[in-house]
Amino acid sequence: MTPDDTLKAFLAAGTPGPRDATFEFAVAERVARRRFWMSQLALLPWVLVAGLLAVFAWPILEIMGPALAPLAEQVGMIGGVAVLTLATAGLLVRRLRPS
Amino acid sequence: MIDRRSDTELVAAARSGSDAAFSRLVERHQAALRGFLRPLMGGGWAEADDLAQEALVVAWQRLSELKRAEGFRTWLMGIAWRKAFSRIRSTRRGSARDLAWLEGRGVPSGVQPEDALSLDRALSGLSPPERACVLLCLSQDWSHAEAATALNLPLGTVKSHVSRGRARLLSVLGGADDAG
Repeated sequence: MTPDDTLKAFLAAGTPGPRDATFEFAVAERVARRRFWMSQLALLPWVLVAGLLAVFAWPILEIMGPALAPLAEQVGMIGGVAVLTLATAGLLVRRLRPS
Repeated sequence: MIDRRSDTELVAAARSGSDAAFSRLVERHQAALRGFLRPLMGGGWAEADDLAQEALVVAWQRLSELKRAEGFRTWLMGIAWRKAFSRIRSTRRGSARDLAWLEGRGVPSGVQPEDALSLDRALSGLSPPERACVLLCLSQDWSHAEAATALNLPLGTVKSHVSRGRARLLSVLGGADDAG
């Protein structure tokens, strides 16, 4: 073995195999975690906007409250189902998109 | 099934949100990335692997900033190098600590234990940029130009780092010091 061969073998010793499912899974997990936090951060401005809207809308709701009360349950249910459906559809489209 | 798509195609797919395409890029480049970081860091392999994962996550996050998709490998190694260099500097890792770990790592097959120990010492004696140049060009078989791009160093500096580093490593093996 020439010194060059020895050097090559020594430097190559730290190189792992071409496939390492554990490592790849760990990266995927970290990417998923990063994506989650990025999505939370992206929601932050909307939460702030919603909070401000609530503050400004409060006096109006207080006045109109008794008139809107009978409709609140139905509107809330329809809105909730719509938001949930859209979120699920968005998630599925993103996940199942062929690469 | 073997995915024969080029890096350019995989980067394009990953940019449009495909996790499978990014996983394929990880699978394709993880060995080279870790093979570069492990001896570079001179710490435990777990630390180098953690850094490799971090570099890949940053690459995923900044994929839209990559100008030339065909240069993904170089770009990824550049991210890893900057992270590694910053960690080496921030921990002020001394060569004594490097050696303590390197000596307990085990001997690569085909290398005499005394040669491995001498090479460990010589490698940890190189500066981080010298080590990076040696590892990319001699171990990963990168061209000087590619290494210069990844490490953001002038081409001449890379050439001299490789030449000097190789000479220092070969000198401990009693090999021909033809590189100056």
